[in-house]
Amino acid sequence: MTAAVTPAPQILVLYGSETGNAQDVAESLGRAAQRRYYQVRVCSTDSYNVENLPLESTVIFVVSTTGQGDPPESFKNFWRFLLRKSLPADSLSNLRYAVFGLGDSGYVKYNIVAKRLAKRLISLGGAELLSLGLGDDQHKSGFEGTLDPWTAKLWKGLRQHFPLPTGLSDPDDDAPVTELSAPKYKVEWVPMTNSTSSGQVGATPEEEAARAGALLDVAGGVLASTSATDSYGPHNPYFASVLTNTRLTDEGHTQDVRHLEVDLGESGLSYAPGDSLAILPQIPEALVQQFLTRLGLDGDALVRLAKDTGGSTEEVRVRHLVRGGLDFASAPPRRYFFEVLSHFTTSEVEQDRLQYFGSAEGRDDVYRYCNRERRSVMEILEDFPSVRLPLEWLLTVTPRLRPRYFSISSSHAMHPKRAHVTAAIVDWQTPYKRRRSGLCTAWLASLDPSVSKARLAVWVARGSLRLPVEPRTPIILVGPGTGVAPFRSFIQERAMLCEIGAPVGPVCLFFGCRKRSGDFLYAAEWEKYVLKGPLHQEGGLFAAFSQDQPEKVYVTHRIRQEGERLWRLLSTGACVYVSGSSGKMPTDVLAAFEDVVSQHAGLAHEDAKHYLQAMMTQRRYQVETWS
Amino acid sequence: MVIKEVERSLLVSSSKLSAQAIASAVQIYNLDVESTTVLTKAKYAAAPNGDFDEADGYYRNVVSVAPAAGEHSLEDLQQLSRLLQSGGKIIIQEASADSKSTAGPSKNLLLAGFTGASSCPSVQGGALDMLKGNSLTWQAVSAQKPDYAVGAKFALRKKNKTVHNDRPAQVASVWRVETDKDDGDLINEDELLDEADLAAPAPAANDDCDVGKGGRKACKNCTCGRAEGAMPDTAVKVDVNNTYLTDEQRNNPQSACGSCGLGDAYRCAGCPYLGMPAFKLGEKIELAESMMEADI
Repeated sequence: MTAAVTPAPQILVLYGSETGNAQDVAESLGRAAQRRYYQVRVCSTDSYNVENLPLESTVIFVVSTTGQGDPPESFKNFWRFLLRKSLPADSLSNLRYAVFGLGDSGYVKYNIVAKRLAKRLISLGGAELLSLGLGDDQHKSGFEGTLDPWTAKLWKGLRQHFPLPTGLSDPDDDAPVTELSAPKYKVEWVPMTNSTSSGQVGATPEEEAARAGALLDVAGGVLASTSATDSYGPHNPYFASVLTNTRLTDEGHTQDVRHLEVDLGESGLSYAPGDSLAILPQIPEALVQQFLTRLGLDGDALVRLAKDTGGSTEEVRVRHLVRGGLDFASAPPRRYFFEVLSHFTTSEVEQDRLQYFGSAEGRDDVYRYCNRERRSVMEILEDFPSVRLPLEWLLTVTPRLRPRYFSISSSHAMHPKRAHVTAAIVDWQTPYKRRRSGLCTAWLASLDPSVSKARLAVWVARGSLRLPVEPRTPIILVGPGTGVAPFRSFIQERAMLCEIGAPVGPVCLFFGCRKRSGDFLYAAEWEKYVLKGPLHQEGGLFAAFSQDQPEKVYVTHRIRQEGERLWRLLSTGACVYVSGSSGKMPTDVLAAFEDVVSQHAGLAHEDAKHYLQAMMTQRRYQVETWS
Repeated sequence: MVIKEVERSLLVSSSKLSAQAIASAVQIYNLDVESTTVLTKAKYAAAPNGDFDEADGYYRNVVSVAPAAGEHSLEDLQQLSRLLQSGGKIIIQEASADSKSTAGPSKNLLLAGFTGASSCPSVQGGALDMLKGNSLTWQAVSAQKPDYAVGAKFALRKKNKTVHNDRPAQVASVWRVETDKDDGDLINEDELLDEADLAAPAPAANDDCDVGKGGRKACKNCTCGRAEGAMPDTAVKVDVNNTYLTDEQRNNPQSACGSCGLGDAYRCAGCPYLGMPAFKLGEKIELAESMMEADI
C-alpha cells in the first residue's frame, strides 16, 4: 500500500524588472523555493495573464523602481490593470503575498513602485505574508543586504502555512549553494543517421530559427505547442522583406537614423497608430558558427527538449536552437551564469573568479565587469577559456533572444501593406572604451533591399499610446528625436481623414533635435502638413534645435512659448502625448505643461499639478519612453 | 424593431426635490423624463461604489443641486464624472452670495477634468428656493466630460482568452483584459501612499571598518593595499582615459599582480589594461581595429 501523496504547495514568483536585477532576485527565490520542496513558477509581469491573479494562492512579487520613480516597462500594463476602480475589494481574498522592492534611497521616490503595489494588494483583499522588503542600492552590500534576512523570514512564514512533510528538512539559509540545481532545459541527443531530417522541407534559416525559439518556449512551459495559430505573434512571426532602408540624418551627422519600410504583403497584418512592430534580431551565421566552435558543439546535431508536462519536443538542430533562442552576442547574462560556469571549469584561477562573481560579495565587481560593459556570453567565455558548458546549461543561463519593438511610424490607412520603422542605429562606448553596437539596429542598418533576400521575423504588438477615437479632439505631440516615430503615424492617420474631408482637430507637433540640417527627421513631410493638412491652422510644427544657436533650446522651451495656444487646446479637451528616450525629458516636459496650465489658466502651481495628474488618470496625458 | 438609444440622466440634490423643481430641471436642461433618475445626495453617498449599481459611464447628463456655496467638493465631482459618459454633460448648481462669479465651481470642475465650464440657467422651484434662503442667489455651471475616450481604430485580431470557470463569477466578469476596450477609471496611484511612504529615506549606514566604497573585496594576491585596508577611496576611481596605453605598455605589457594579462574579469579597478583583450606578458597586445579609433 502506498501513502497518499500530497502535491507540493505551489508558489508563483512574479517580477517586474528593468535592468534584470529583479529578474535575478526572482529566479534565485525560485531556486531557493525549489530546494524547499515547493512547486514554483517564475514569471515576468508582462508575460503573466493578470486575469488569473484572483486564482493564485501564494505569490511573491519582486519589482524595481527606476531613478525617477517609474515602474519597469514590463510592469506597466499589469499595474494599470490593478489600478482599475472596477475591481472588487475582495478580488484577491484567496491570495497570500509578499513584496520585495528594488530601489535606490538616493532618489526621492525610493522604492515607490513596490510600496504602491503592496498597498494596492491589501485594498484588493490580499493577505500579507510578511511586510514589504526594501532593497537599497545605497546599502553597502546592495539590495542583498536586506534581501537575505527578508527571504529567511519569508521561508519561515511560509512554513506556517505549508508544514514540511515528514522525513524532509529545509536547507540551511546560510550554507552556500554548492550543488547545482537541475537545469531548466533537458536535452535528448538524437542519433544521427543519413536519413535524419528536421523541420520543414525547404524552410529558410529564419524560419528554422523562429521554430527553434518556439520549441524552447514549449520546453520551458511558456507555450503549449508549436502548432500554427491563425495570428502572427512571437511564436508565429511573419517573414517580411525590407523594401526601403534609407538614412534620414545627414551623412555628416554623428548619429545614423534609418527609415525602413517593411513589406507586410498579403499577411493581413494591420496596425493602429501607436502600435509597435516587433522584430526578432538575427545573429550573423558566421558568429553562430564561431560560438558553436568555442563550445565544442556540433551545429548539425539533432536534439529533442524535454517538456515539463512529460514527453519531449520535435527534433531540432543545435545550430537553430542557438541562433533562434539565445542572445549570446549582445545581452549580458545574470549573476547566476557565473555560479553555473564555476561548475564547468578545469582551471582553479577561473573557478575562483567565477565563484567570486557568483557570490553576493562579488556583486559590484560583476556589475562593473559584465553589466556596465554589456559583456556578452561569447565575450565572457573568452576570459574563461577552460569552461566547457553543456548544451542544457547553455540554454538555461544564456539570455533568451528577445524581439525588439519599434514604434510604427506610418499609418496603416495610408500604407495598407507596409509598416515604416524609424530606427536610430545604436552605437556607443562602454566605460572601458570598448566600442559596442546594438545587435538589432546594426543588423537592420546592414540590410540592402536591392540585394538582400533576408526576411525579418515580425509581428504587430499593441502600443501604449492611443489616438482619441474622436478625430476632432485636438492633440499635442511631444516627440524629440526618434520619439517622433509614433506621431508620424498619428499625423498620417489624421492626414488621411483630412483628405476625405472629415473634420479633424488641430495637431501640435513639438520636435527636438540637434541641428536643422543634421537630424531634423521627416522635415519635408511636416512642412507639407503645415501648409495643408493636420498641422495647419490652430495646430503647427514647433521644432527646437539644441545646437543651432549659442544657447541650448529644447522642446520644453517651445512648449512654454506656445503656452497660450496650448492652454486654449487643453481647455477644450486636447490630449497630450509624450514619446522619446527616458531620463530627464519626460519630467521636464511635464514641468513645462504644469507651468503652462498654471500661467494661462490662472491656477496655483499645486492646482496645475492636480490638473495634469487628473489628465493622466483619464489618459489625456500619455507617455511612452524607452531607455 | 429599432430601439432608440435613450439619454439617461441623473438628478442629485442634497435634499428631496419638489415635483415642481424636478419639472423645472427636466424642462430647462431638456432631459428625457422617462429615463431620469432622481436621488438625494445622502442616498447616493451612502453607496459610493457598491449597490448604486449603475455602471461607470451610465449617464449622458448629471445635474447636481446643493443649497450652499462650495458644496461640490473635488471628490464629489470626480465621483459624478465616473458616472458620466465620455462627452456627457454635468451641471452643478449652488447657492451663492455673489451672483456674478462662478469661479469657485468652475475651478473645481476644471480640476476634476471637465472642460468648457460656463454658467447656465438654474433650476427654480418652491421648496428649493426656501432652502437657500433669501439672501442668496442660484448659480449654475455646466461643463463637459471630455471625449477623450481612447481606442483602436483598426482592431487587431482578437485572441480568445481562456476563462477559468472556477473563480467567483462576479470577480471573473471584472478581471478581464479586453485589449480593444478602455481601462475605465483608474485609482490615483499616489493616493495609495501615506506620508511615511513618501518620507525621505534614511541614508544607509556603512560600517566604519569598510575597506572601500561598495565593499569591494581585495584580490587574493593583492598588491594595492586593499587587503590591509589601506586603500584610499580615491585610488579606486577609474579614470577612463587610463585605458589609453603608452607604446611601451602595448608592446611590452607587464603586470605587478600577475592578473592583468588574463582579461577584464581578473583586472583590478585601476588597471590600465581595462577594456583590452587578454594578453601574454611581454608580448604585444593585438587590438581590434575599433579600439584604436579616436574618441568621437
